[in-house]
Formats: sequence, C-alpha cells, structure tokens
Amino acid sequence: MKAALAGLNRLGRIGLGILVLFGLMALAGPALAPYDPRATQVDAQGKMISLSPPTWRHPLGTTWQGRDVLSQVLHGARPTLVVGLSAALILAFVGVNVGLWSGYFGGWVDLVLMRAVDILYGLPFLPLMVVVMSLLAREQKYVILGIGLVAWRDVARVVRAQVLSLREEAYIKAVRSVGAGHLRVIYLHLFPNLLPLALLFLAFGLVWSILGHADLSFLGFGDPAHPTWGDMVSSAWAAGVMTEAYWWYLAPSVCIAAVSTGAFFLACALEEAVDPRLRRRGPGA
Amino acid sequence: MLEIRDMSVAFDLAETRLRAVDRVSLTIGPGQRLGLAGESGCGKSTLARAILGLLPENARVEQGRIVFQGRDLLALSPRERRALLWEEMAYVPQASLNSLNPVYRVAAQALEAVRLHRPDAHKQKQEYIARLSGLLVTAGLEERCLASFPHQLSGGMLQRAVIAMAFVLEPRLIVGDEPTTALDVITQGRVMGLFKSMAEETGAALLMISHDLASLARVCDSLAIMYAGRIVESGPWARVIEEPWHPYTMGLLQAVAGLDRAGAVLRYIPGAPPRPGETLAGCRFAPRCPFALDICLQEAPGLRAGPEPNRRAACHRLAEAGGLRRRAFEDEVWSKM
Amino acid sequence: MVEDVILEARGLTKTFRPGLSLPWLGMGRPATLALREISFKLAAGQSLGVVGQSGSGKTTLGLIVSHLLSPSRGQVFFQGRDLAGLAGGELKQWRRQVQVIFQDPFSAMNPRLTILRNLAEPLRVHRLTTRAKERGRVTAAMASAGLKHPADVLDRLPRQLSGGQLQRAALARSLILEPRLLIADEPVSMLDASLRAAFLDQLQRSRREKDLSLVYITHNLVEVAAVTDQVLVLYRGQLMELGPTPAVLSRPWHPYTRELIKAVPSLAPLSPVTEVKVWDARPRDLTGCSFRPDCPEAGPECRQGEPEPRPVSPGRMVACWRV
Repeated sequence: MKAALAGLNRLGRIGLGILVLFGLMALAGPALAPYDPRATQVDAQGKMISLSPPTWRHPLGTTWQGRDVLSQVLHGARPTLVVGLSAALILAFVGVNVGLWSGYFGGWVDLVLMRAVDILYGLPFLPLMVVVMSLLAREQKYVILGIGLVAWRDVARVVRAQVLSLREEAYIKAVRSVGAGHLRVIYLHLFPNLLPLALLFLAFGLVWSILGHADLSFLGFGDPAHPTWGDMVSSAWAAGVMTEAYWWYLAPSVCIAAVSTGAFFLACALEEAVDPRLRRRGPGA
Repeated sequence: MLEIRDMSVAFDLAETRLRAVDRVSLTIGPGQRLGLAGESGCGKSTLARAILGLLPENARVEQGRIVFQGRDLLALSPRERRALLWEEMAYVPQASLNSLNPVYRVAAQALEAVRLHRPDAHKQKQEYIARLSGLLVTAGLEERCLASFPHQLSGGMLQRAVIAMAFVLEPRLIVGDEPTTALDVITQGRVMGLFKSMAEETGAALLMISHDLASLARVCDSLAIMYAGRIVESGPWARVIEEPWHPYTMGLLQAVAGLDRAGAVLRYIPGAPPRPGETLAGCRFAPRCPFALDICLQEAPGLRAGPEPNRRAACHRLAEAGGLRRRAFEDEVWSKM
Repeated sequence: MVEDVILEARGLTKTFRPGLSLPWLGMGRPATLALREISFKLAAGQSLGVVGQSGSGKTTLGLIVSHLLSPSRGQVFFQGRDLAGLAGGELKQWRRQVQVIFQDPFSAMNPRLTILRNLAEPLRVHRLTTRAKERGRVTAAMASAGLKHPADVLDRLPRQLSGGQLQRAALARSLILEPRLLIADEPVSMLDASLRAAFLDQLQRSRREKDLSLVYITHNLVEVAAVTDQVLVLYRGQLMELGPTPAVLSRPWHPYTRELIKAVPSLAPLSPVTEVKVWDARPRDLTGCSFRPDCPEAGPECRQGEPEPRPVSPGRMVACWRV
C-alpha cells in the first residue's frame, strides 16, 4: 500500500484523499445526518420551514417541502459511490476480458466481439438508459448494470490493442511453445502485464459512472429509494426555484464535481504511471 | 580538423557520479575515416555524443577540450552548437526508423532540416530536391523514395536515406553510431561501402562507431580501440590489424571470424569489463589480460607512442608486443583465463 | 545407411493475408507469399542452418516448424508424425520435445516475473516438479546454460539483467524440459560481438551434452559455418540452395549463395567499393526467377518461370536455371 502510494504523484494523492473523504461520508453520513432527509421540518408554530436559507438549525437550508438539505447531502454519498464503484468494476471486468480474448484469439472471436463494440459505440448513452429504466424498473441495480454494460467498449478497444502488441513479444511465444494452454497464457502471462491498464480504467470508469449516474438522476430516472445528489439538483430544477434557492442545489453540485474530480485526478495519476511517456523526465538510465 | 584533448565525460546519477569517458585524446584529420571499436558500455557512444553536443541532460564534460576546425566547441552556446549540426557535422544513429517521423514523407523531413540551416532554402527548393535525389541515387535508392513515407521503405532503405540526408549540407564530419547493427549482413556491407564512397566524394571525415571490428573494415583507414572509458590503442587501420600492440586488440582480433576461420566465431575474451564506477588501481584490462604482470595491477599505463609513426597504445608490455602477439593467436591462451 | 530423421518438412507454403479477409464479400487484399514449397530433412543430432536476409521468410519457417503458426500448405513431420494431427495432450507432450529461442533477449522473459519464476514456468505447465524442488532444477538448468552464479540472478527481474545474461537464461529455459530439438531464431544478432561467441560456444556445448538437434536461423554465414551441418538458403520465400554446410560454402552453386559469401565481413579493407545498383527496390518485372532482378548472372533463360529445386549432387539441391 505504501509502495503504491509512493508511485502516485501529488495530483493522484489529492484525488485519492478526496475519494477517501467521500468514502467515509458514504459510510458514516447517514449516522451524522441531523434529521431524517425525508421528514418535513416544522418550526415552533408547527409551520413547514419551506425554502429556508442556511441558518444555525439548518446549515445548508431546506427544500421546497421543508426537508433538511445537509441531511440529504450526507445521505446522497452512499448511492453515488455504490453505483460508481460497482459500475466501474463491471465495465473494467467486461472490457479487460473482451479485450484479452479479442486480441489473443483474433479471427472470428475478434470479429464478433469488435462488432459488438462498434454497435455499442453507435448507441447514445442517455436515451438508451432512459429506455432501459422505463422498461425494467427504476432501481439501483439496473443503473449499475446499464452503465457497466455500455461503457466497457472503450476499455475493450484499448486492452485489445495492447494485447495485439504483447502477443508478439518473445516471452508470450516462448510460453506458448512450452505447451501452456490458452487460459494460462491469457490470465497468467498477459493479464498481469495489463494490470496497470485495468486499474487506470477502473479509475476512469468511476468518473464516467458518477457523471452518468448524475445525469440520469437529474433527468429523473434515478432510483427513488436511494436519492442522490443528482436527484436533489433535479428537484430544485423541477420546483422552478433555481434563481432564488441556490442553497438547495449548490452543495449537491459541488459534491458531484468534487468526487468526480477526485476520481479524475486519480485516473490521471495512474495514467501517468502506466504510460512512461507522460512522465516528466527523471534521471536517465 | 577535430582534436579532442584529455576529455572526460561523467553522468550524474541519483547517488553517484559515473565517469563514462576518462581522459580521452583523439584527432581526426580532414577526410580521415576513423573507426572507434569497443564492447557495449565502453563509452564510445558517449564520446560521440560529446563531440556532437548531444549529451543527455545528466551528463557533462568534466574536463578537456574539443577543438573543431579551430573552434573550441565547449566554449560555444547550445544554440551555436545546434547550428553546427547538419551544417558542419552530421549524425547517423543506429535506428533510423525512429529518427524519422512516420507521418511525413522522406523529402519533407529532409527539406525541413535544410530549411532550419539555410533560411533562403525555399528560394532554391528545386535545387535542394535535385541534390537530394542525386544523393539518393548514389545511395542506391530510386528517386521515388523521396515521396515515400518511412514505413513504406525497408530498414536498409531507411538507413541509406538517412545517410544520404546527412550529406545534403556537405558537412565536414559525419558521426555514425552503430549505423549498420540492425541490418542483415548483405545490407550491412553495402551501407558501409556507401559511407566510404560518399565520404570520398565530398571529402568529409568519418567517425564510425561499432562493437564489431569486421564491420568497420570496409570504411575505415584508421582505428581506435576503446576499453572501459579509455582509448587503449590507435593507429592506421592496416597496421593495427596486422600487428596489434595491445593485448585487448589482440583478443578482439583472434575472435574475428571469416569463412576461412569460422571456428573463431566461438572464440571470445573471457570475463567482463569492469562495471561503470568500479575503480581499479592498475590497467583496466588487467583482470582479463592473459599477459598481465604485477605492475599491470598496480599502475595504470598511459597512452604512449611506440616505434611506428601515428601509433599509440596503453600497455606496460608495449616493448614485448611482438612476442605477446604470437601467443595471443593460440587458443589456450584465452581459454585458460 | 538409414538415418534417424527427427524433423522433415514437405512442401511448406505460407501466404499471409493482411487484415481480415472475406473473399465472398469482396473484402480482403491480395495475399503475400512468405514461403513457397520448402522441403528438407534433418537427421537426429544434426543441425540445419536457415540463412537469408530480412524478409526472406526464415522467421516464418521457424514459427511453422515450432508449430506456433500453421502452414497454408504442406506438412511438418517430427519423428515421422505429422504435426497437423497433434492436439490436446499429445500436442502438449510434443511441446516438451521442441523448444524455441527468439531473437530479442530483452523481450524473452515476462518482465513482471522473476527469472526463477520465468524459468520454472515450463516445469509448472507440465507439472514436472514440486514447488520445493523447483529452485534446484532451475539452478541446475542455468548452470548447464553457462550462467555463472545462478543464485545471484534467480530472484531478479529480467530488466536487471544484461542482454547476454538474458539470452543464456532463455537457453536455460529451453533446456529445462530436456527437448530433442531446439529452434533458434537469430539468437545472437542483438548481442555484442564479444557476447555472441560466448553464447554460441555454450550452445554447442549444451548440444553435445544433450545430443540435441538444432534449427539455426540467421543472416550470417559465419554462424552457419560454425554451428551447422546442413544449410538451407532462402530468398523471398524460395529455397535457393540446400546441402551440407562445408560443401555449400566451399562450392556454392547458386549465385545468391555466392553473394552471401561475398558479404561476410572480413578485416581486410575492401579495396574499390563495388559499383552501386538499385538495391531491394520492388522489382517491376516479376516474371521468371524471383532472384533475377538482383542476380548478377541472370540471363534470358531466367525469365522462363520460377526454377524448382533439383538435386545436383548427392544431398544437394539448387533452384537455378543456369546450373
């Protein structure tokens, strides 16, 4: 762990720090939240505190229906990271495997898999997701599957290109000539050399998933059982109070930007570690 | 024309400083074709890069002078030194494939280099193109190669195109760093022949660097042997080849194979050169030398003149060279080591 | 005298199609011919040199006889068995008997695994040893490949070794399964002149010790002269000449073999530089013998088509109209 940290540049450590912070928020947020995020807050007279600007009682103000914005923000971290991480894992897993098989076997396997990638490139992401969510159900697992099963196309392409060049390396030919089976060559010899690339795509996948999920929520196709920051911005928009109640959507927007920026920083740092050409010149060999 | 005096080049590494070239002196006259041979890691490439002003950032010339056509190169600014490249001295590296940009045609890249040095080149573009085509034909390439992209040419063709480009501005010195190592034997011989004929035609001097003595034979009229950062022997090609003075040269020569003595392909000097940074009190070759005496291990020999003109060697047993030479071509002398 | 033939090639032909080709859809570019009708026999314990310039198809031939590439036409027999018929467990057993050494020492080892792990891979693939005994067997193999101080090297990563050390480690890996046949594709062309000799010397020692047959691919006739008994000369995928090495080198029949012999570097300064003609430009006129455009001795009869290799004296084949 220490060694892995040392390999990251400063940007990467900042990104990792941001992600860890939001990770803690996802774990402890619901416990820290001062109110039930769905409860309508009332004042001493029993009147609903609608659209209150930040006060001591409600540090981030309240919504149209008198709900506490701070509590909603704290509760929103968990679904954001759960969807982001799970979708990123799926897309990295599928993409790396498709790329490995496609590049290693070539021929018909390659033809079929790469045409599937081409088809995915032709599908517009948001309309597709809207259709999927409408046909199935607005549940978190479908959001995860939807993002994960569309976004692996980029991973597959890059991994395939890498495998095509690795396949020609003498040590891969040597292992084949020794009599190693296909699975052994793919997962014991090719895959470890792609591990940095897989990590990089895990980080980029996190960025894509968080932003894709936010878009979907904003359009009103999120999971109503797990309200996210995107849903908060969406409600503020739907209520038509974007000009007067800035506090309603400011905090969730900042959170979306911060967590995706953190993931992006981490991805960039990993990319630099993967591709030595991006590294600033160190001491010569 | 080129005189290197007492020059050392060192690399700054994280913890240490390594001397890759150690107090080397060397001269190249106009039209001379000098071969510089040695094992990899002996400092020959570093020496060439120091002459060209192309040392990596962490390397620098610690001491000595490089005088080129009366000018002290080390006193020039980096900008002035860049201006000398192509114009006065040209460089042909080992892998030409990497020195050409794959997205531009060969002609465009050659003209780009010309343009950098001759601001008025656009006026005489046709002239330069004609000159380039002439050089390509001399190099055994068809003129249409000028309009090709690098990937459309074979490795040998690219190497010849790069050599032809090096001669465009008629430089006085061409430095070739293992220019034929990546090529097959037939192409190797032809490329070396090309270096020679083009140098003869333009009167340029050559500095050819290789780990393979035999590959230099087609070009060079003089020879310097480098070992572990130092020159151990230098002199006219034929004399050094016929009667080497230094045991290291003898060792290299006994391992040069021809079809008549193919068995020599299996001969070598046992052991390895000292690692960079390893300090030895005496002669650096002494641990591998079959003729080493006690003094060889204690005191480093300087490069001394011998009984013949223009020849030098750094060996304590220089006076006995004839006797050592006879023994050096017996098999057991080296295998016993 | 009946010789024990370990390897036989019959009419090996390989064409490459660039990219994916679907002829019935009108897709695909014309195929390039990498090898044409190559046949030879190699007796057990003997060595065969395959010599040619880059682009001659010699590497393709090496990949086909090591069963890493299948020929478009023709067959390879190992101890009388057709390789095309091998599959599954039989193929795996066959792989133990034939090992390959490649040109580039710096890509010969998996960069993420230690030398020990790289060298133990063949043992693990064939489940030949326990983890505990692995180290001992690898050390022994390295010693027999002439790597000094194996213990110092075992736990290092490939990038910490020199080219000469890596190529010896590759030799050790190929010897560890105790094969009958070794296929070496330019094993020394990327090494320093001084390291080449040491490697070849070791290769010859190991062969004598283990009675190993060898297919040695190179562009350098001096190496052929030093390590092979038979030589096969290739030019643009065509067999030009085949025969016992000393006979071919001392009395070459084919003009191309003579060119190769002339190209062998020697220390004598080459007096006048031979006149330069257009080299390896794509010949425009493709009729006749494929060497005709470069052949110094070509005559009108050379236009009548590709000459077939024919026997000229016992054990020697030449493909030339003028012989």
